[in-house]
Amino acid sequence: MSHYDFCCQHVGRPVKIVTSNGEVHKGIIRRVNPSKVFIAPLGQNRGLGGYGYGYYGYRRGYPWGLGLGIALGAIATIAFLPPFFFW
Amino acid sequence: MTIHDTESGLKKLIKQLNQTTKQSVQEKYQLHQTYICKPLAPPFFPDVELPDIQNHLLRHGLFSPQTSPDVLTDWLKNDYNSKIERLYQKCKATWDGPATNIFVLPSNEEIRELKEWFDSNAGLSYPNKLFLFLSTSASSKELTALFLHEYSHTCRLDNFPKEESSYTLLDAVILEGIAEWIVRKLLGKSYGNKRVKWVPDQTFLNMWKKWVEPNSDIPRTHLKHDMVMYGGSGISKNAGYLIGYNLIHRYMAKNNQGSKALLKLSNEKILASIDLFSDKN
Repeated sequence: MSHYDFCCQHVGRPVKIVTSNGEVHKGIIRRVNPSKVFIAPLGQNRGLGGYGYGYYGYRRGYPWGLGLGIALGAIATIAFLPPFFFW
Repeated sequence: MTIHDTESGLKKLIKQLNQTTKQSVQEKYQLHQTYICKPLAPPFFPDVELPDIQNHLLRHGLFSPQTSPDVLTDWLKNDYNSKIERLYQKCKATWDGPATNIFVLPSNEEIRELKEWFDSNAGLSYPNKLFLFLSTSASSKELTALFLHEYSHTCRLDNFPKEESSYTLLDAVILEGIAEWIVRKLLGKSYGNKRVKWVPDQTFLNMWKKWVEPNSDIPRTHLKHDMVMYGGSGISKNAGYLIGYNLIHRYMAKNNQGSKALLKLSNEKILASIDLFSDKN
């Protein structure tokens, strides 16, 4: 199954995506197009905690509403996050 | 040493970026990890992979790996560390605060959200460490506002120590409310998070009852925690900060206390003193 098909079938599910250059993203699949998957990254505090000022959530300037876009071609692995992690 | 040396890492990064003109994005991310994130890894983020540290700090406003070396060179011309050292010693003595580890680094000035609402300054605090991400042109008062905000967190977390996963939404609302109140009290209304302002009683009460009261005990790992604090799914941006500020503003209007006492005051005592809650219940 291609990453595109996988993402289309699992919109709304929490996943962990590792890209070919080693970046790790955890979030909920929001939408998919033929070149990118957009995820809403899981809360800032799930990983390394701390209390922030000016937290904007996403990298590389992606606006809040769109989520973080990851090129499908850059995905090395994609896997579901276990429910206990999510909730 | 309380303010850690970030300058040498930045200088090495600038040197590497200047050596080759055409680095790939991937190479830039790796250089950023090596010179900026790696020094933090073993003592300050144990058992965490470097890409996760990098992701986390980038989300909180650290400068992008794609920042031009010229911008970083300009940033280094500022003498932020000595100002922060003076502020730290002053606040530590005044608030009876703990010793902490401070890291001062450039912020990401390309992010519209940060530029518009936070003057491109951001920060992140923990009980044992504190990150200040400053723009190239941060004024003394902006720097002071950011430091007061973050170090007030460190003090309150130190006054009420518990496992980080045990902190609740109510803890966060009060933590941020105190920080925003202190910044405005000491520097004036034009400093701090620009989305945070005084709102009339009924508006405050409605927000409190809708978003905080039913969720006050949820842990910080719950999705709703960040929705209330940062906004999303119909909740206005930085709602938790605004509610917290309005709560503390009302508490301090009634109780004439200083910042030091406020930082040591339990959540229960603060809530018990808010007339609005008892009158309308």
